[in-house]
Amino acid sequence: MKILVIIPAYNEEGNILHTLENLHAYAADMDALVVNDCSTDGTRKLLEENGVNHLNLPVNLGIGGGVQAGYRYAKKYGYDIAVQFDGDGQHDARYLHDLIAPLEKGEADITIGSRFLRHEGFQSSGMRRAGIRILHRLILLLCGKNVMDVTSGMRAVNRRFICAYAAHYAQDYPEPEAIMYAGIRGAEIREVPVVMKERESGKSSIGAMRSAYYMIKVSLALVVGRLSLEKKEESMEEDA
Amino acid sequence: MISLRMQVFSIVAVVLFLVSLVALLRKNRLELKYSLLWLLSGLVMLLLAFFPGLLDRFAQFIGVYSSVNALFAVLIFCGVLVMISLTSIVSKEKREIVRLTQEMGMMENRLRELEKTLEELKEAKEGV
Repeated sequence: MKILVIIPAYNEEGNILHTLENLHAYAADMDALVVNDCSTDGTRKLLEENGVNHLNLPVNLGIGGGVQAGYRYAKKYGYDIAVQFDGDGQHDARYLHDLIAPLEKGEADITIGSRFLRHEGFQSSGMRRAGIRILHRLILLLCGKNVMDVTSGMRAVNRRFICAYAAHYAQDYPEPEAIMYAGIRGAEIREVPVVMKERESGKSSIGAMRSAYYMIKVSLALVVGRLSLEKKEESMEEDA
Repeated sequence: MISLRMQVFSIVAVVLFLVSLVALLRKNRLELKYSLLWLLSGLVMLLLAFFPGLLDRFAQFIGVYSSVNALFAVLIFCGVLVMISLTSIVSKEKREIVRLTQEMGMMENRLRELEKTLEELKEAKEGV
């Protein structure tokens, strides 16, 4: 099976090489693709000097557009499984084989690395957990999928949803929306317990002040996404 | 009721508006598709300026006492329509920019791969 690890990176010069070393140590059989989302620091130079396979986006698209570029790459080059893996040092590649195991066996379409199944490692602040619980309930209500860690950026999808996400992927804070998008299209979604760390350096993309905006935007997007008239089966159109 | 003076000024204003719109269209500074709403609202205004009686009847119909207030309501409504259509256009363009950016990123990646292969081929050739 051809497996692609998509690593979105925006100004991650302090973390990206650690992330790649970590990947190489535990998942050397998977191809890595760093999506450099128009970083303004030395990320691009670092990637070029180290011969890392990467995309340079000429305009900053944010996490949604960046990750989607990775899915489009995976679609174009015929990958069977695509894994999303943060470039900021929060994720640990030693869980990647557990993560993709249900996809390889054909038992699931999407797997999500979850912090909240065994409650080990970095659990995020109480406020954030409360927010995540609300989104968890909302997604359960809207599409009947029971996913605990709805904001986890560590996830793997099979070929069917590589194509679906290549055609449509939420742009601003895409993680919960992507779950619902797949949920209403009948995806089998499974959570796999993982341990996450705190960021190694740099700042998270969601500051404390923006949490309220985050909750409102994502909740609204979930409801609107459920009401969306777009046809529910994913578009399989081939791109030129 | 609308005074004759006001009617003259409205006609002049609306004609100026339509003339500048057409001038912009002729110079290709506006896309016709995006100015249809402006043209349409301009024509409605022109109609009302020439036949203020229509405005009076419309005001009565929607229950507004002063015809001028009804005019404001119509204008604001037209403005809101145009703004919504602009937001929709911006959203579409954003989607297109995202797609183009992603494609460009993939092209650049492919180009680098090809350059690398070419470099390797050259070296192999020189080695022989």
